Amino acid sequence: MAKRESTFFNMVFALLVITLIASASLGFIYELTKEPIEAARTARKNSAINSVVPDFDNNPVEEQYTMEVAGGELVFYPAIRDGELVGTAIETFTNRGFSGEIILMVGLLPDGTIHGIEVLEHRETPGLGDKIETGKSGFHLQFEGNNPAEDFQVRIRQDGGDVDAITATTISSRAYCDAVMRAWNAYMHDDAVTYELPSREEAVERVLPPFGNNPLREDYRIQYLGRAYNIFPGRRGRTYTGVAVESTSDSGYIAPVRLMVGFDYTGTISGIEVLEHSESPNYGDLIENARSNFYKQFIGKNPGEDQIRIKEDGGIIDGVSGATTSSRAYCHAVRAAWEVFMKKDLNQGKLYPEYFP
Amino acid sequence: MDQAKNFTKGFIRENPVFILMLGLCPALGTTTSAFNGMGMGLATLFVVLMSNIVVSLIKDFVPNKVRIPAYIVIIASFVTIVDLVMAGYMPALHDQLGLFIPLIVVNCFVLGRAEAFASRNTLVSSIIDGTGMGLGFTLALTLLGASREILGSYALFGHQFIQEDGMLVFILAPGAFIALGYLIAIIDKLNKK
Repeated sequence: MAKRESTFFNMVFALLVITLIASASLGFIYELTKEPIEAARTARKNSAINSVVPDFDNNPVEEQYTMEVAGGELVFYPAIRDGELVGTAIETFTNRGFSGEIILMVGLLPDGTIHGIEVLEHRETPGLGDKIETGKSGFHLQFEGNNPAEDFQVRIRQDGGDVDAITATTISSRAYCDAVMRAWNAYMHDDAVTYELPSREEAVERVLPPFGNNPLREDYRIQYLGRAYNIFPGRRGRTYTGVAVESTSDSGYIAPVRLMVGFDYTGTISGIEVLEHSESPNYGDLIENARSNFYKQFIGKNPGEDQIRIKEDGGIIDGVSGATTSSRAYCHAVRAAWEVFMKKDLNQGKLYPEYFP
Repeated sequence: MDQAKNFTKGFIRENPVFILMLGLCPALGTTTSAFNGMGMGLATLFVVLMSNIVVSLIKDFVPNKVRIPAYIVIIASFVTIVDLVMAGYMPALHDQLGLFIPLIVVNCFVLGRAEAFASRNTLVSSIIDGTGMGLGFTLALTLLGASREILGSYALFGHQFIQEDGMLVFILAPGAFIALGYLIAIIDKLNKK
Protein backbone atom coordinates (compact mmCIF):
# COMPACT_ATOMS: atom_id res chain seq x y z
CA MET A 1 0.00 0.00 0.00
CA ALA A 2 1.37 3.37 -0.94
CA LYS A 3 1.60 6.14 1.55
CA ARG A 4 -1.56 8.22 1.60
CA GLU A 5 -1.42 11.79 0.45
CA SER A 6 -1.76 14.52 3.07
CA THR A 7 -5.07 15.75 1.77
CA PHE A 8 -7.52 17.27 4.21
CA PHE A 9 -9.86 14.32 4.00
CA ASN A 10 -7.11 11.77 4.47
CA MET A 11 -5.75 13.56 7.52
CA VAL A 12 -9.12 13.94 9.23
CA PHE A 13 -10.09 10.41 8.38
CA ALA A 14 -6.83 8.90 9.67
CA LEU A 15 -6.95 10.80 12.96
CA LEU A 16 -10.62 10.03 13.42
CA VAL A 17 -10.07 6.33 12.99
CA ILE A 18 -7.05 6.28 15.29
CA THR A 19 -8.72 8.28 18.07
CA LEU A 20 -11.88 6.19 17.80
CA ILE A 21 -9.98 2.94 18.15
CA ALA A 22 -7.86 4.40 20.94
CA SER A 23 -10.84 5.62 22.95
CA ALA A 24 -12.76 2.39 22.43
CA SER A 25 -9.87 0.26 23.64
CA LEU A 26 -9.27 2.58 26.60
CA GLY A 27 -12.90 2.36 27.58
CA PHE A 28 -12.68 -1.40 27.40
CA ILE A 29 -9.53 -1.56 29.55
CA TYR A 30 -11.04 0.89 32.00
CA GLU A 31 -14.07 -1.31 32.49
CA LEU A 32 -11.80 -4.31 32.83
CA THR A 33 -9.55 -2.81 35.48
CA LYS A 34 -12.18 -0.85 37.36
CA GLU A 35 -12.88 -3.58 39.86
CA PRO A 36 -9.28 -4.62 40.54
CA ILE A 37 -8.31 -0.98 41.05
CA GLU A 38 -11.14 -0.50 43.49
CA ALA A 39 -10.24 -3.76 45.19
CA ALA A 40 -6.58 -2.78 45.45
CA ARG A 41 -7.56 0.54 46.97
CA THR A 42 -9.84 -1.14 49.48
CA ALA A 43 -7.24 -3.78 50.26
CA ARG A 44 -4.65 -1.14 51.02
CA LYS A 45 -7.09 0.71 53.22
CA ASN A 46 -8.17 -2.50 54.90
CA SER A 47 -4.65 -3.60 55.65
CA ALA A 48 -3.92 -0.19 57.15
CA ILE A 49 -7.10 -0.37 59.21
CA ASN A 50 -6.25 -3.91 60.28
CA SER A 51 -2.89 -2.93 61.58
CA VAL A 52 -4.00 0.11 63.56
CA VAL A 53 -7.04 -1.14 65.48
CA PRO A 54 -7.66 -4.25 67.61
CA ASP A 55 -9.30 -7.30 66.01
CA PHE A 56 -12.78 -6.63 64.70
CA ASP A 57 -15.50 -8.61 62.98
CA ASN A 58 -17.35 -5.94 61.03
CA ASN A 59 -16.47 -4.20 57.77
CA PRO A 60 -15.11 -0.80 58.82
CA VAL A 61 -14.94 0.47 55.24
CA GLU A 62 -18.64 -0.12 54.81
CA GLU A 63 -19.44 1.68 58.03
CA GLN A 64 -17.17 4.64 57.41
CA TYR A 65 -18.27 8.17 58.08
CA THR A 66 -16.60 11.47 57.44
CA MET A 67 -16.11 14.65 59.35
CA GLU A 68 -15.28 18.09 58.08
CA VAL A 69 -12.31 19.70 59.78
CA ALA A 70 -10.33 22.83 59.03
CA GLY A 71 -8.52 22.22 55.75
CA GLY A 72 -10.18 19.01 54.72
CA GLU A 73 -12.10 15.95 55.67
CA LEU A 74 -11.32 13.04 57.97
CA VAL A 75 -12.66 9.56 57.33
CA PHE A 76 -13.53 7.39 60.31
CA TYR A 77 -13.64 3.59 60.11
CA PRO A 78 -15.24 2.12 63.23
CA ALA A 79 -13.95 -1.33 64.22
CA ILE A 80 -16.58 -3.36 66.00
CA ARG A 81 -16.23 -6.76 67.59
CA ASP A 82 -19.17 -8.67 69.03
CA GLY A 83 -21.25 -5.56 68.66
CA GLU A 84 -18.86 -3.42 70.63
CA LEU A 85 -16.70 -0.59 69.39
CA VAL A 86 -13.11 -1.74 69.91
CA GLY A 87 -11.40 1.10 68.10
CA THR A 88 -11.65 3.61 65.30
CA ALA A 89 -9.25 3.99 62.40
CA ILE A 90 -9.08 7.57 61.20
CA GLU A 91 -7.72 8.62 57.85
CA THR A 92 -6.07 11.91 58.62
CA PHE A 93 -3.79 14.34 56.86
CA THR A 94 -1.37 17.19 57.30
CA ASN A 95 -0.13 19.76 54.85
CA ARG A 96 2.97 20.49 56.89
CA GLY A 97 5.09 17.79 55.34
CA PHE A 98 8.42 18.63 53.75
CA SER A 99 6.99 17.93 50.29
CA GLY A 100 3.31 18.44 50.71
CA GLU A 101 0.54 16.34 52.06
CA ILE A 102 1.02 13.32 54.32
CA ILE A 103 -1.90 10.95 54.82
CA LEU A 104 -1.95 8.69 57.86
CA MET A 105 -4.25 6.03 59.21
CA VAL A 106 -4.42 6.50 62.96
CA GLY A 107 -6.09 3.85 65.11
CA LEU A 108 -7.62 5.04 68.36
CA LEU A 109 -9.18 2.96 71.09
CA PRO A 110 -12.56 4.19 72.32
CA ASP A 111 -10.91 6.15 75.14
CA GLY A 112 -8.57 7.94 72.73
CA THR A 113 -5.47 5.82 73.33
CA ILE A 114 -3.38 5.57 70.17
CA HIS A 115 -3.31 1.93 69.15
CA GLY A 116 -1.40 2.07 65.88
CA ILE A 117 -0.42 4.37 63.03
CA GLU A 118 0.24 3.64 59.37
CA VAL A 119 1.39 6.00 56.64
CA LEU A 120 -0.91 5.85 53.63
CA GLU A 121 0.66 8.46 51.41
CA HIS A 122 3.53 10.89 51.54
CA ARG A 123 6.11 12.48 49.33
CA GLU A 124 8.81 13.01 51.94
CA THR A 125 12.45 12.73 50.99
CA PRO A 126 13.47 9.12 50.35
CA GLY A 127 16.02 8.06 52.95
CA LEU A 128 15.11 10.86 55.35
CA GLY A 129 11.47 11.81 55.68
CA ASP A 130 10.25 8.46 54.47
CA LYS A 131 11.38 6.96 57.76
CA ILE A 132 7.99 7.98 59.09
CA GLU A 133 6.76 4.86 57.28
CA THR A 134 6.10 1.83 59.40
CA GLY A 135 8.85 -0.66 58.63
CA LYS A 136 11.46 1.95 57.81
CA SER A 137 11.90 3.01 61.42
CA GLY A 138 10.35 2.56 64.81
CA PHE A 139 9.16 6.15 64.87
CA HIS A 140 5.49 5.21 65.10
CA LEU A 141 6.11 2.89 68.05
CA GLN A 142 6.50 5.70 70.53
CA PHE A 143 2.91 6.73 69.92
CA GLU A 144 1.35 3.35 70.45
CA GLY A 145 -0.37 2.71 73.76
CA ASN A 146 -0.24 6.35 74.71
CA ASN A 147 -3.18 8.61 75.23
CA PRO A 148 -2.78 12.29 74.42
CA ALA A 149 -5.42 12.97 77.08
CA GLU A 150 -3.07 11.61 79.70
CA ASP A 151 0.56 12.51 80.08
CA PHE A 152 1.62 12.21 76.46
CA GLN A 153 2.16 15.40 74.49
CA VAL A 154 2.03 14.61 70.80
CA ARG A 155 4.68 17.13 69.84
CA ILE A 156 8.33 16.60 69.10
CA ARG A 157 10.75 17.33 71.95
CA GLN A 158 12.00 20.48 70.22
CA ASP A 159 8.45 21.79 70.53
CA GLY A 160 8.12 20.71 74.14
CA GLY A 161 6.39 17.41 73.55
CA ASP A 162 7.13 13.75 74.27
CA VAL A 163 7.94 12.55 70.75
CA ASP A 164 11.52 11.91 69.67
CA ALA A 165 11.82 13.27 66.16
CA ILE A 166 13.63 11.22 63.51
CA THR A 167 17.18 12.49 63.11
CA ALA A 168 17.42 15.12 60.37
CA THR A 169 13.71 14.82 59.80
CA THR A 170 12.29 17.43 62.11
CA ILE A 171 9.77 18.77 59.63
CA SER A 172 8.34 15.40 58.67
CA SER A 173 8.19 14.34 62.31
CA ARG A 174 6.42 17.54 63.23
CA ALA A 175 3.94 17.06 60.38
CA TYR A 176 3.30 13.49 61.51
CA CYS A 177 2.41 14.69 65.01
CA ASP A 178 0.18 17.30 63.45
CA ALA A 179 -1.75 14.68 61.49
CA VAL A 180 -2.08 12.42 64.54
CA MET A 181 -3.41 15.25 66.68
CA ARG A 182 -5.84 16.30 63.96
CA ALA A 183 -7.35 12.84 64.09
CA TRP A 184 -7.31 12.69 67.86
CA ASN A 185 -8.87 16.10 68.35
CA ALA A 186 -11.60 15.38 65.87
CA TYR A 187 -12.30 12.06 67.54
CA MET A 188 -12.40 13.42 71.07
CA HIS A 189 -14.49 16.48 70.35
CA ASP A 190 -16.82 14.88 68.03
CA ASP A 191 -20.52 14.99 68.69
CA ALA A 192 -21.32 13.60 65.30
CA VAL A 193 -20.26 10.12 66.38
CA THR A 194 -23.35 8.66 67.93
CA TYR A 195 -24.10 5.03 68.25
CA GLU A 196 -27.74 4.44 68.35
CA LEU A 197 -28.82 3.50 71.82
CA PRO A 198 -31.05 0.46 72.03
CA SER A 199 -34.78 0.88 72.22
CA ARG A 200 -36.59 -0.39 75.28
CA GLU A 201 -37.57 -3.55 73.41
CA GLU A 202 -34.02 -4.29 72.32
CA ALA A 203 -32.64 -3.53 75.76
CA VAL A 204 -35.06 -5.86 77.50
CA GLU A 205 -34.21 -8.62 75.09
CA ARG A 206 -30.50 -8.18 75.61
CA VAL A 207 -30.36 -7.87 79.39
CA LEU A 208 -32.73 -10.65 80.44
CA PRO A 209 -31.65 -14.27 80.86
CA PRO A 210 -33.26 -16.51 78.21
CA PHE A 211 -37.03 -16.16 78.25
CA GLY A 212 -39.99 -17.31 76.20
CA ASN A 213 -42.67 -14.76 76.90
CA ASN A 214 -43.10 -11.16 75.81
CA PRO A 215 -41.84 -9.17 78.82
CA LEU A 216 -43.02 -5.90 77.30
CA ARG A 217 -46.62 -7.09 77.41
CA GLU A 218 -46.35 -8.09 81.04
CA ASP A 219 -44.71 -4.93 82.26
CA TYR A 220 -45.86 -3.11 85.34
CA ARG A 221 -44.76 -0.20 87.44
CA ILE A 222 -43.47 -0.01 90.97
CA GLN A 223 -43.22 3.06 93.12
CA TYR A 224 -40.04 3.21 95.13
CA LEU A 225 -38.74 6.22 97.04
CA GLY A 226 -40.99 8.54 95.11
CA ARG A 227 -40.04 7.25 91.69
CA ALA A 228 -41.79 4.94 89.30
CA TYR A 229 -39.89 1.97 87.90
CA ASN A 230 -40.92 -0.05 84.87
CA ILE A 231 -40.53 -3.76 85.38
CA PHE A 232 -40.36 -6.35 82.61
CA PRO A 233 -40.52 -9.92 83.86
CA GLY A 234 -39.07 -12.70 81.73
CA ARG A 235 -40.34 -16.24 82.12
CA ARG A 236 -40.37 -19.60 80.49
CA GLY A 237 -43.75 -21.18 80.80
CA ARG A 238 -44.83 -20.34 84.34
CA THR A 239 -41.29 -20.11 85.68
CA TYR A 240 -39.78 -16.67 85.97
CA THR A 241 -36.22 -16.59 84.67
CA GLY A 242 -35.39 -12.98 85.31
CA VAL A 243 -36.53 -9.43 85.50
CA ALA A 244 -35.50 -6.26 83.67
CA VAL A 245 -35.78 -3.04 85.62
CA GLU A 246 -35.74 0.34 83.97
CA SER A 247 -33.87 2.55 86.37
CA THR A 248 -32.82 6.17 86.33
CA SER A 249 -30.16 8.06 88.24
CA ASP A 250 -30.39 11.80 88.53
CA SER A 251 -26.74 12.17 89.35
CA GLY A 252 -25.43 12.07 85.77
CA TYR A 253 -22.89 14.66 84.76
CA ILE A 254 -25.30 16.58 82.61
CA ALA A 255 -28.69 14.93 82.74
CA PRO A 256 -30.22 11.77 84.21
CA VAL A 257 -28.81 8.41 83.14
CA ARG A 258 -31.45 5.83 82.29
CA LEU A 259 -30.52 2.15 82.26
CA MET A 260 -32.19 -1.17 81.65
CA VAL A 261 -30.79 -3.63 84.18
CA GLY A 262 -31.51 -7.33 83.94
CA PHE A 263 -31.38 -9.72 86.90
CA ASP A 264 -31.72 -13.43 87.08
CA TYR A 265 -33.82 -14.94 89.85
CA THR A 266 -30.98 -14.76 92.41
CA GLY A 267 -30.53 -11.05 91.94
CA THR A 268 -27.35 -11.46 89.91
CA ILE A 269 -26.97 -8.95 87.12
CA SER A 270 -27.48 -10.62 83.76
CA GLY A 271 -27.09 -7.54 81.55
CA ILE A 272 -27.21 -3.78 81.36
CA GLU A 273 -28.01 -1.41 78.53
CA VAL A 274 -27.95 2.38 78.56
CA LEU A 275 -31.26 3.71 77.33
CA GLU A 276 -30.63 7.41 77.61
CA HIS A 277 -27.92 9.80 78.72
CA SER A 278 -26.38 13.13 77.84
CA GLU A 279 -22.87 12.51 79.13
CA SER A 280 -19.90 14.19 77.46
CA PRO A 281 -18.77 12.74 74.14
CA ASN A 282 -15.83 10.39 74.44
CA TYR A 283 -15.69 10.62 78.20
CA GLY A 284 -19.00 10.06 79.92
CA ASP A 285 -20.54 8.37 76.91
CA LEU A 286 -18.10 5.51 77.32
CA ILE A 287 -20.68 4.03 79.65
CA GLU A 288 -22.50 2.98 76.47
CA ASN A 289 -22.06 -0.70 75.75
CA ALA A 290 -21.02 0.05 72.19
CA ARG A 291 -18.19 2.28 73.32
CA SER A 292 -16.45 0.45 76.13
CA ASN A 293 -16.41 -2.65 78.27
CA PHE A 294 -17.53 -0.73 81.31
CA TYR A 295 -20.82 -2.63 81.56
CA LYS A 296 -19.07 -5.98 81.55
CA GLN A 297 -17.78 -5.41 85.06
CA PHE A 298 -21.33 -5.61 86.34
CA ILE A 299 -22.38 -8.82 84.71
CA GLY A 300 -22.46 -11.75 87.10
CA LYS A 301 -22.25 -9.49 90.14
CA ASN A 302 -24.91 -9.52 92.80
CA PRO A 303 -25.44 -6.11 94.38
CA GLY A 304 -26.47 -7.91 97.56
CA GLU A 305 -22.94 -9.30 97.92
CA ASP A 306 -20.77 -7.02 95.80
CA GLN A 307 -20.28 -3.34 96.36
CA ILE A 308 -21.61 -1.85 93.15
CA ARG A 309 -19.73 1.40 93.53
CA ILE A 310 -16.68 2.76 91.79
CA LYS A 311 -13.36 2.11 93.48
CA GLU A 312 -13.05 5.73 94.58
CA ASP A 313 -16.18 5.17 96.66
CA GLY A 314 -14.91 1.89 98.10
CA GLY A 315 -16.60 -0.41 95.58
CA ILE A 316 -15.38 -2.93 93.03
CA ILE A 317 -16.10 -1.09 89.78
CA ASP A 318 -13.38 0.61 87.76
CA GLY A 319 -14.88 3.94 86.75
CA VAL A 320 -14.56 5.11 83.15
CA SER A 321 -11.40 7.20 83.20
CA GLY A 322 -12.18 10.86 82.95
CA ALA A 323 -15.83 10.20 83.69
CA THR A 324 -16.10 9.52 87.42
CA THR A 325 -19.43 11.28 87.74
CA SER A 326 -21.00 9.32 84.92
CA SER A 327 -19.64 6.04 86.29
CA ARG A 328 -21.00 6.91 89.72
CA ALA A 329 -24.45 7.69 88.31
CA TYR A 330 -24.39 4.39 86.40
CA CYS A 331 -23.63 2.45 89.61
CA HIS A 332 -26.33 4.39 91.38
CA ALA A 333 -28.93 3.43 88.82
CA VAL A 334 -27.85 -0.22 88.99
CA ARG A 335 -28.17 -0.26 92.78
CA ALA A 336 -31.59 1.39 92.60
CA ALA A 337 -32.72 -1.25 90.12
CA TRP A 338 -31.57 -3.99 92.44
CA GLU A 339 -33.29 -2.46 95.43
CA VAL A 340 -36.51 -2.34 93.45
CA PHE A 341 -35.99 -5.95 92.50
CA MET A 342 -35.48 -6.96 96.12
CA LYS A 343 -38.14 -4.84 97.79
CA LYS A 344 -40.73 -7.30 98.85
CA ASP A 345 -43.26 -5.04 100.41
CA LEU A 346 -43.52 -2.47 97.68
CA ASN A 347 -44.84 -4.36 94.76
CA GLN A 348 -48.13 -5.91 95.62
CA GLY A 349 -46.60 -9.32 95.87
CA LYS A 350 -45.83 -9.50 92.21
CA LEU A 351 -42.11 -9.34 92.06
CA TYR A 352 -40.45 -11.49 94.66
CA PRO A 353 -37.35 -13.54 94.35
CA GLU A 354 -39.49 -16.29 95.88
CA TYR A 355 -41.49 -16.38 92.71
CA PHE A 356 -38.55 -17.90 90.98
CA PRO A 357 -37.87 -21.61 90.98
CA MET B 1 19.10 -5.59 8.03
CA ASP B 2 20.96 -7.73 10.49
CA GLN B 3 18.21 -8.51 13.00
CA ALA B 4 20.59 -9.67 15.72
CA LYS B 5 22.37 -6.35 15.61
CA ASN B 6 19.02 -4.61 15.46
CA PHE B 7 18.10 -6.38 18.69
CA THR B 8 21.31 -5.83 20.61
CA LYS B 9 21.97 -2.25 19.60
CA GLY B 10 19.76 -0.98 22.44
CA PHE B 11 21.81 -2.62 25.17
CA ILE B 12 25.05 -0.69 24.83
CA ARG B 13 25.75 0.67 21.35
CA GLU B 14 22.59 2.77 21.10
CA ASN B 15 21.40 2.58 24.67
CA PRO B 16 18.56 5.10 25.02
CA VAL B 17 19.76 6.47 28.35
CA PHE B 18 23.52 6.18 28.23
CA ILE B 19 24.16 6.95 24.59
CA LEU B 20 21.07 8.56 23.05
CA MET B 21 20.38 10.44 26.32
CA LEU B 22 16.65 10.12 25.79
CA GLY B 23 14.03 9.65 28.49
CA LEU B 24 16.23 11.06 31.21
CA CYS B 25 13.32 12.43 33.21
CA PRO B 26 12.00 9.02 34.33
CA ALA B 27 15.54 7.67 34.37
CA LEU B 28 16.49 10.17 37.04
CA GLY B 29 13.20 10.44 38.85
CA THR B 30 12.22 6.83 39.44
CA THR B 31 15.54 5.12 40.00
CA THR B 32 15.73 5.45 43.77
CA SER B 33 15.99 1.67 43.94
CA ALA B 34 16.76 -1.14 41.54
CA PHE B 35 13.21 -2.46 41.79
CA ASN B 36 11.64 0.88 40.95
CA GLY B 37 14.01 1.35 38.04
CA MET B 38 13.17 -2.08 36.69
CA GLY B 39 9.43 -1.48 37.09
CA MET B 40 9.63 1.77 35.19
CA GLY B 41 11.83 0.16 32.55
CA LEU B 42 9.41 -2.71 31.99
CA ALA B 43 6.44 -0.35 31.80
CA THR B 44 8.30 1.63 29.15
CA LEU B 45 9.31 -1.58 27.37
CA PHE B 46 5.67 -2.52 27.03
CA VAL B 47 4.73 0.90 25.70
CA VAL B 48 7.59 1.14 23.23
CA LEU B 49 6.99 -2.38 21.95
CA MET B 50 3.24 -1.92 21.49
CA SER B 51 3.54 1.52 19.96
CA ASN B 52 6.25 0.28 17.60
CA ILE B 53 3.96 -2.55 16.46
CA VAL B 54 0.96 -0.31 15.87
CA VAL B 55 2.94 2.51 14.27
CA SER B 56 4.65 0.15 11.88
CA LEU B 57 1.27 -1.39 10.96
CA ILE B 58 -0.44 1.90 10.21
CA LYS B 59 2.53 3.78 8.81
CA ASP B 60 1.02 3.85 5.32
CA PHE B 61 -2.45 4.69 6.49
CA VAL B 62 -1.40 7.87 8.32
CA PRO B 63 -0.65 10.87 6.11
CA ASN B 64 2.72 12.43 6.72
CA LYS B 65 1.47 15.76 8.07
CA VAL B 66 -0.51 14.27 10.96
CA ARG B 67 1.80 11.40 11.86
CA ILE B 68 3.10 12.94 15.12
CA PRO B 69 -0.38 13.54 16.64
CA ALA B 70 -1.36 10.05 15.55
CA TYR B 71 1.71 8.52 17.20
CA ILE B 72 1.10 10.50 20.37
CA VAL B 73 -2.47 9.25 20.60
CA ILE B 74 -1.27 5.68 20.17
CA ILE B 75 1.49 6.04 22.75
CA ALA B 76 -0.82 7.81 25.21
CA SER B 77 -3.36 5.01 24.89
CA PHE B 78 -0.80 2.36 25.74
CA VAL B 79 0.53 4.40 28.64
CA THR B 80 -2.97 4.74 30.04
CA ILE B 81 -3.44 1.00 29.66
CA VAL B 82 -0.22 0.37 31.57
CA ASP B 83 -1.29 2.85 34.21
CA LEU B 84 -4.70 1.22 34.69
CA VAL B 85 -3.42 -2.33 34.65
CA MET B 86 -0.64 -1.51 37.07
CA ALA B 87 -3.02 0.29 39.44
CA GLY B 88 -5.29 -2.72 39.37
CA TYR B 89 -2.86 -5.60 39.58
CA MET B 90 0.39 -4.15 40.98
CA PRO B 91 -0.76 -1.48 43.42
CA ALA B 92 2.48 -1.45 45.42
CA LEU B 93 4.59 -0.74 42.35
CA HIS B 94 2.03 1.75 41.12
CA ASP B 95 2.30 3.66 44.39
CA GLN B 96 6.04 3.92 43.94
CA LEU B 97 6.05 4.95 40.29
CA GLY B 98 2.70 6.73 40.36
CA LEU B 99 3.56 10.12 38.99
CA PHE B 100 6.04 8.88 36.41
CA ILE B 101 3.83 6.41 34.56
CA PRO B 102 1.75 9.06 32.76
CA LEU B 103 5.02 10.78 31.92
CA ILE B 104 5.99 7.89 29.65
CA VAL B 105 3.78 9.66 27.11
CA VAL B 106 6.24 12.51 26.85
CA ASN B 107 9.25 10.24 27.06
CA CYS B 108 10.95 11.33 23.85
CA PHE B 109 12.58 7.93 23.61
CA VAL B 110 9.23 6.25 22.91
CA LEU B 111 8.15 8.78 20.32
CA GLY B 112 11.68 8.68 18.96
CA ARG B 113 11.43 4.96 18.25
CA ALA B 114 8.04 5.42 16.60
CA GLU B 115 9.21 8.28 14.44
CA ALA B 116 12.76 7.23 13.67
CA PHE B 117 12.30 3.48 13.34
CA ALA B 118 8.82 2.00 13.31
CA SER B 119 7.40 4.42 10.75
CA ARG B 120 10.10 3.40 8.28
CA ASN B 121 10.59 -0.29 8.89
CA THR B 122 8.72 -3.55 8.65
CA LEU B 123 6.64 -4.99 11.44
CA VAL B 124 9.22 -7.65 12.36
CA SER B 125 12.09 -5.17 12.51
CA SER B 126 9.96 -2.83 14.59
CA ILE B 127 9.10 -5.56 17.08
CA ILE B 128 12.76 -6.48 17.42
CA ASP B 129 13.76 -2.85 17.71
CA GLY B 130 11.07 -2.12 20.32
CA THR B 131 12.03 -5.12 22.40
CA GLY B 132 15.74 -4.43 22.15
CA MET B 133 15.49 -0.74 22.90
CA GLY B 134 12.95 -1.36 25.68
CA LEU B 135 15.25 -3.92 27.27
CA GLY B 136 18.14 -1.50 26.91
CA PHE B 137 16.11 1.16 28.68
CA THR B 138 15.12 -1.32 31.40
CA LEU B 139 18.74 -2.37 31.77
CA ALA B 140 19.88 1.24 32.08
CA LEU B 141 17.24 2.10 34.65
CA THR B 142 17.87 -1.05 36.67
CA LEU B 143 21.61 -0.38 36.59
CA LEU B 144 21.12 3.22 37.65
CA GLY B 145 18.60 2.22 40.32
CA ALA B 146 20.87 -0.54 41.60
CA SER B 147 23.92 1.69 41.89
CA ARG B 148 21.92 4.37 43.65
CA GLU B 149 20.36 1.83 46.00
CA ILE B 150 23.70 0.17 46.75
CA LEU B 151 25.38 3.47 47.56
CA GLY B 152 22.39 5.23 49.05
CA SER B 153 20.84 2.57 51.26
CA TYR B 154 23.47 -0.22 51.26
CA ALA B 155 20.86 -2.52 49.78
CA LEU B 156 20.00 -4.23 46.51
CA PHE B 157 16.42 -5.04 45.50
CA GLY B 158 15.44 -4.24 49.07
CA HIS B 159 17.92 -6.59 50.74
CA GLN B 160 20.13 -4.58 53.01
CA PHE B 161 23.69 -5.89 53.22
CA ILE B 162 25.10 -3.31 55.63
CA GLN B 163 22.84 -2.43 58.55
CA GLU B 164 23.52 1.26 58.41
CA ASP B 165 22.27 4.39 56.75
CA GLY B 166 23.78 4.72 53.31
CA MET B 167 25.14 7.77 51.52
CA LEU B 168 21.90 9.63 51.33
CA VAL B 169 22.90 11.90 48.51
CA PHE B 170 22.57 9.01 46.07
CA ILE B 171 18.92 8.53 46.94
CA LEU B 172 18.24 12.22 46.50
CA ALA B 173 18.03 14.03 43.18
CA PRO B 174 21.68 15.19 42.99
CA GLY B 175 22.80 11.59 43.46
CA ALA B 176 20.84 10.61 40.36
CA PHE B 177 22.88 12.99 38.24
CA ILE B 178 26.15 11.92 39.85
CA ALA B 179 25.42 8.22 39.39
CA LEU B 180 24.19 8.73 35.83
CA GLY B 181 27.33 10.74 35.01
CA TYR B 182 29.62 7.97 36.17
CA LEU B 183 27.59 5.29 34.42
CA ILE B 184 27.68 7.25 31.15
CA ALA B 185 31.45 7.56 31.49
CA ILE B 186 31.84 3.82 32.08
CA ILE B 187 29.58 2.89 29.15
CA ASP B 188 31.39 5.34 26.93
CA LYS B 189 34.70 3.73 27.83
CA LEU B 190 33.27 0.26 27.07
CA ASN B 191 31.89 1.49 23.78
CA LYS B 192 35.20 2.92 22.58
CA LYS B 193 37.09 -0.29 23.13
